[in-house]
Parts: sequence; C-alpha cells; structure tokens
Amino acid sequence: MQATNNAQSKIQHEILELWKSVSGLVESFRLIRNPIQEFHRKVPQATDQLDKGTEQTEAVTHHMIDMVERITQRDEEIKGIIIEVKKEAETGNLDEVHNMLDKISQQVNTNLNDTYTIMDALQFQDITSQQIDHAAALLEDIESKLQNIISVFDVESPTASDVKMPVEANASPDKKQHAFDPKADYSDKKADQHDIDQLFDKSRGIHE
Amino acid sequence: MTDLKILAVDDSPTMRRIIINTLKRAGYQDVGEATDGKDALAKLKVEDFNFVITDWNMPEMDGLSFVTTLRSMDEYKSLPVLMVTTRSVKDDIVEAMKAGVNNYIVKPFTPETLKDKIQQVLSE
Repeated sequence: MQATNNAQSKIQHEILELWKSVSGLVESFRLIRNPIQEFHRKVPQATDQLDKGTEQTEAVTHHMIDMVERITQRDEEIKGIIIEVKKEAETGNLDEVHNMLDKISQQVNTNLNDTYTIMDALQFQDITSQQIDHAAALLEDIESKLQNIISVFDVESPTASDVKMPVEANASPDKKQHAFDPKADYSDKKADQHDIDQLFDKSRGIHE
Repeated sequence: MTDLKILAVDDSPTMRRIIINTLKRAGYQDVGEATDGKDALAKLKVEDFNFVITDWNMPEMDGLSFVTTLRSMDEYKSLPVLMVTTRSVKDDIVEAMKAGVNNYIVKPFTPETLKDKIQQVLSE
C-alpha cells in the first residue's frame, strides 16, 4: 500500500513537472508568435524596398550614362569643328569661322544643360538611401526580435517581463543615426507637386 | 533678390550640394548649410540668414520640429521657410502648413520648381 502511494505521488509529481514544462513551452510559443507574424510582414517589405532602390538606381544610372554618352559625342564633334575652324582661319574665311564658332557655342550650351540635368538626377541618391535605410530598419527590428526569441528559450519560465529589448542596449555608439521617409520614391512628382500647390493656394485663399 | 542669404538644411550631403548648386545657378550666391534642425538653429544664431530651405526627415531635430521651434521664437516668426522633402502625403503637407512653412516642394524637384517657389515665397 505504501509502495503504491509512493508511486502515485511520484507520478503526480512527474505530471506536475510535465504540466509546468508544457505551460512554459506554450508561454514561449505565445511570446514568439507575434514576432514571427511580424517577420512574415517585414521581410518582404524590406526586400521590396531594396528591390525598389536597386531598380530606381539602375534606371537613373542608365539615364545618366545616356547623357554622358551624348555629352562625349558632342565633345568629339566640337574637337572636329575646332580643327576645321583652324583651317578656315588660315584661309581667311571669317564667315565660315563665325558659323563654326556659333555651332561650337550651341554644342557647349547643350552639354552644360545636360551636365545640370545629371546633377539634378543625382537626387536619386538621397531617395534610394532613404529606401535602403527603411529596409535596414526593418531588418534591424527583425534581428532584435530574433534575439528576444533566443532569450525566451534561454530562461526556464519566461514571462513577458523577461524579454529583453536588445536594440538600444546593443546599438553601437558609432552607429549612424538615420531618418527616413518609408514612402520615399524616385518618380515624377509633377502630379504630387500640383496637388501640393493647390493645397497652398486654397490655404492662401482662406486666409486672404 | 541676389542679396538673399539662404540656409539649406538637409542631412544628406548629396542633397545639400544639389540644392546649393541649383541656388547658385539661379543667382543666389550666398548660401549656408546645416545638417539638421538643431544645427540650423545654431547657424541662425550666429549668421543672419533671411531664407531657409529645409528637409523633413533628419536625425537630431527633424524639419517639422525645426519649423515649429522657429515659429515659437519672435525673431524667426516671419523668416521665410521652404520645405523640400520626399513626403507627399496630404496629411503631412497639412501638418507642415500648420507648423508654419511658407511653401512646400516634393523631391525629386526640378531647378525651375525651386526657383519658382523661392520667388513665390518672397513675393508674398
């Protein structure tokens, strides 16, 4: 009888330990469920942002290469015209020299405008860097949540208060601070600018 | 018009160079620069700028807080401020208007838009 009671007590103890263990496991899975749902959302978001940055960088780079090719082509033409100018100057044909100089002047102005266009197109760097910063922030968030999950499995009976927030604590002091617009996009903004102008016009109308 | 002293505030060195280059092409030779709102406030204290072009998303102090701070200070209440940002959502623009920006340009912008908006702000 005593032996039976001992066995029963041992089994009860084992069941209790098993229940505690299962409860701990359930709690752990409950804690990691939300981060995993977030990963499902944030990983594709980060990938999309990086893809967008790559596509837009490529498109602008191609546009700039086209411009540079046109500029160098015009430079070659100018070199040829200068040789002709020298020849015409030696023969004293001043009218032709004037015509050629006008042509050179036009080509130089076109090249100057194209150079400015390249300069303006370089705004893409700011926009794509914001897209990359956004993707990096999403990935850093995922990293911190993965660390949280690891910490959950490192402790016996985890509770929400056991979960560490490693982002700030582990952040490198030298890490560059980023501020970005998650919707930053390098596309034609004429329509957006028109809507903004209308908003301001409307506001002025109200105040006047 | 050319005696205008403009402060360009943007955390991106590329954008600051582009804005300064565009301004100089438009005839505005006197241009200073700041990396964020906090830096801009410090620059405004030591130099007399009479026009500000600012980005929105910046570390330390963003453009919106910067404009709000400016408008809370008597000496900068009427300082013309043009916001140049990637943000194009209507709510953001309304927020910027409420903070006190005089006009708003969305990036990427054209040199003509920048010149037009400066003129527009100055003529108001």
